[in-house]
Amino acid sequence: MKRLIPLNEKARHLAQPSAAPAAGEATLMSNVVGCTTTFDPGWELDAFGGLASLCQPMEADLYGCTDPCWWPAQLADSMNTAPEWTDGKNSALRDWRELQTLFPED
Amino acid sequence: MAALHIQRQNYRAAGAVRDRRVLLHVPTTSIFELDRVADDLLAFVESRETIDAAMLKTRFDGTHAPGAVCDALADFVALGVVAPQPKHYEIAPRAVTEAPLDTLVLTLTTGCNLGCSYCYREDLEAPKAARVMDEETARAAIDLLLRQAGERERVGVVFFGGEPLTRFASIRALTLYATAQGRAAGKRVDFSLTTNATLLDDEMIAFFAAHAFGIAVSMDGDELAHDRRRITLGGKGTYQRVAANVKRLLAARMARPVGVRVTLSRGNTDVEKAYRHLHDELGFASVGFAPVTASADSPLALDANDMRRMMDGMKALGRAYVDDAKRGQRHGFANMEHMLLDLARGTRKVLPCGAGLGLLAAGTDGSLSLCHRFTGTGAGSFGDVSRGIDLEKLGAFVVAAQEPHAACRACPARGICAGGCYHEAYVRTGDPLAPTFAHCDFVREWLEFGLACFGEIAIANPAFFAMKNMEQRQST
Amino acid sequence: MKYWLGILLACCALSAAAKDFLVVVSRPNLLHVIDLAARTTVHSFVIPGDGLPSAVTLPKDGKVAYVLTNRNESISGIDLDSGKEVFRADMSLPGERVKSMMAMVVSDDGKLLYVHQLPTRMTKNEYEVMPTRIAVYNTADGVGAKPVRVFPAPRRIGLLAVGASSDRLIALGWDMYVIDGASGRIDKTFPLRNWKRDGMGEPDILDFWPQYEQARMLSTPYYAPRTNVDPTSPEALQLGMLTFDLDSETMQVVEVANADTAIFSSVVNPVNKNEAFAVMNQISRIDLAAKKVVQQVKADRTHYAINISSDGKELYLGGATDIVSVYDAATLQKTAEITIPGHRDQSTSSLRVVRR
Repeated sequence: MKRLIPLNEKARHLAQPSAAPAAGEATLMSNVVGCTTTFDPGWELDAFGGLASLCQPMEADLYGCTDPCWWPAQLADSMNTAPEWTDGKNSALRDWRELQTLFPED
Repeated sequence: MAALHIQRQNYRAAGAVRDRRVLLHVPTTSIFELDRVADDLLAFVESRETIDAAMLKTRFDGTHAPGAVCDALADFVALGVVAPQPKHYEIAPRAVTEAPLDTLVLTLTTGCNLGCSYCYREDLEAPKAARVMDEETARAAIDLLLRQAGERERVGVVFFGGEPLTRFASIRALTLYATAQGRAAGKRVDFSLTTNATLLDDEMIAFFAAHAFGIAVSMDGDELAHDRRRITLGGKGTYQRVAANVKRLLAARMARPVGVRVTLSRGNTDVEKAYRHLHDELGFASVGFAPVTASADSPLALDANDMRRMMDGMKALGRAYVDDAKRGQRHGFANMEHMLLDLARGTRKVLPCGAGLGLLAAGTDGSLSLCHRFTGTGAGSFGDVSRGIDLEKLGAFVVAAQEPHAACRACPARGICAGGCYHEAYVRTGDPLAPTFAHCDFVREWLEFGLACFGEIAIANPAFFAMKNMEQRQST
Repeated sequence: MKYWLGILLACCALSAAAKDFLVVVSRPNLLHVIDLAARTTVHSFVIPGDGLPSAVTLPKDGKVAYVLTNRNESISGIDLDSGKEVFRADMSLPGERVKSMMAMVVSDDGKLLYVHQLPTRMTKNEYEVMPTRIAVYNTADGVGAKPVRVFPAPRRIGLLAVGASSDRLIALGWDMYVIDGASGRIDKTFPLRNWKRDGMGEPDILDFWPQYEQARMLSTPYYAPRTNVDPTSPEALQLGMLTFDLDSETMQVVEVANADTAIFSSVVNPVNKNEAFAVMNQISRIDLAAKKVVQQVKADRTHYAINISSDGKELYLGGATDIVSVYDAATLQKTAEITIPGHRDQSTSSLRVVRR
């Protein structure tokens, strides 16, 4: 919130979710057995800093990454948070144009 | 930027603190102060219903910086105050799989020594003809409460009637029983009762003080107002006797503040006057008001003019509350205190009250109802103190109650009202889950007033709503 | 006499007419059986329930394919003749979400199913990550099966295999483990992340493609830095091959090339166990004895998975998109292409070869 000034507790939580009381330490949820670590760019550059080892065509790699929630920051997560994102679009090469932008839901 | 539409169901803006409004975010009961840009932007969207980038430029170019307008718009989008499509935040009804109790109301008797003309009880009788709760049933009720309390460390027993003080011997015996059983179960039992105070004597006062009873007295104001409806079975006024007893009660060192509850009925709607008398002159710590429960065609019911007078009076009293609060002083207007507590905590109700969810009432025969108002009615029971709670039936009711009425989905007061009193609705329509539409406009008006007052206090004296100060006010 | 025996055996082989089939899954919820000789898909069965299937495991007789599905939360056993679901285990419980990251294997006799599980307790305000574990199912329990035993297991297991007997469980995570499937005890640990090799840093392994059934040799590419060379030199990062013999429970790691391409998975030639093939954007032939990549050709597209025919003559490349490519193992030339019906992507599907 930039132009609304919180007046009650609820509003303060809403305005600053990170200031909410911490609930234990976060633990990494899934396997990290990656070719690169989770926060590496992955989709922009390959492990060697070039493009040659990116998947070819790059759409080939799309569902291999969304289905197992492989790049949870960069891509939609078909496993948990965006289960319907690819409904009816089962060929990434043919259907990628129909995939819609995802906005964070509240 | 695509067109954005105002989403009135998701907010309420009210007040004029520092010439700007306070915003209630309805889905979460969050409250924000709008800054100059945000307030201007909201007013603009409200005036147009739908906006787009070109309209914003035309309106704000040269008035506010584009970045500031953009930030304010982002805030409103984040809150769903404006959205490209209709945006509704519904809380899906939650299933009820257990019924932990924290409060049980015991209807000790259906008998009352008064014959108040507006009483809502359908089964009220003279003391001699009354049905009373026998000791075995009462003990079973207390056992049920302690059994159903689950993990809760504190539970409450409310003695109710009829007039509970016609059964003082029973109250004494049950208080001792519940305290002992509670101790054995590792739980503290709090006691409270609502009385007309006509039978209150020193022995009772001493007992209530010793066991930390919370006491609410029913009075309607000064002698003239009180004796209009609160009369003996023989038709005589009761003010003199009640006032004398109340003075002794308030002079005693009671562990918890003593409150008074005023029933407003036709011809008796002077809220400020009643408050002055009961709080300032008699010395009650808190004074709460409620309009009489009656069908619309009843001669006792408040008509539109009465309701208007009542609302104006409550607002005037509310202003006095705000003046005190800004100076850090406690004011005894209970309705205002409760609403501001809800707003400060950001309470988002999906049910109007705790009836059926923590609170149940036992009738004289031990059958369980949603609350004390339903005992002795034909509304059906939710089990029995010896056989236990009918979880299936109660669960079904509570789940149905969570489903908002279509009219409530669009109402900005829904997070505070959640549909209104089941009993009020039952009396008016026969259906406890029907909203009491006659009250809706007043509920919204009262909320809007409360929101403006909350903003005014929160900005002038933020410490007033600090959690510890709120708790302290509740206990004194 | 010898002559007659030979004729007899030849007749038996002819009448049995055992053939290699490829078993893969695809989006949204399909299980495909591909006749490799005919280059055609003979069955496309619908896997019941919510889909996005991934891992596939089959017993030796190849009668039932066990598929990890329902967004990694359920295992469905599909009869490959009738297409009927004959086994089902839904792992999640109310309040506890259980997923598996592809690590699942059925014993060769088809009786026991092992699954590595990642349970998460879903509370109102937080997700609580629970210890990982391996659940064991009796496949005879059919639809609605519950685990017959559960034991704790290390995190980050992406591959399971069964060794010489049904209770020898091989698990690849940050290290390679041999687990007693009856007691859950870790019998042997072969250090990988924790290896101490002079001049070598920690290896990085990504593998959840089970493709060990032909040679009974679990293999995976890995990447590891050399710590005793100039970090900017081409030798500083090495591509290695890990092979694990499922019967003798022995592991071998060899660096085979400077790492200049990414490789996802590999398979060992059942006819020549010193030869492995690896795939991603290229197909590589690796001589494990000579410790080097001896041939590398560009693939026409990315494949995650690779498998090999029983006679070691053909390579099958799958996963990712909707194409299974067939390559000649001797020349690494593409010989055929099979499209998954309806152009459904295989995504992270296993690529299993079964002889029936």
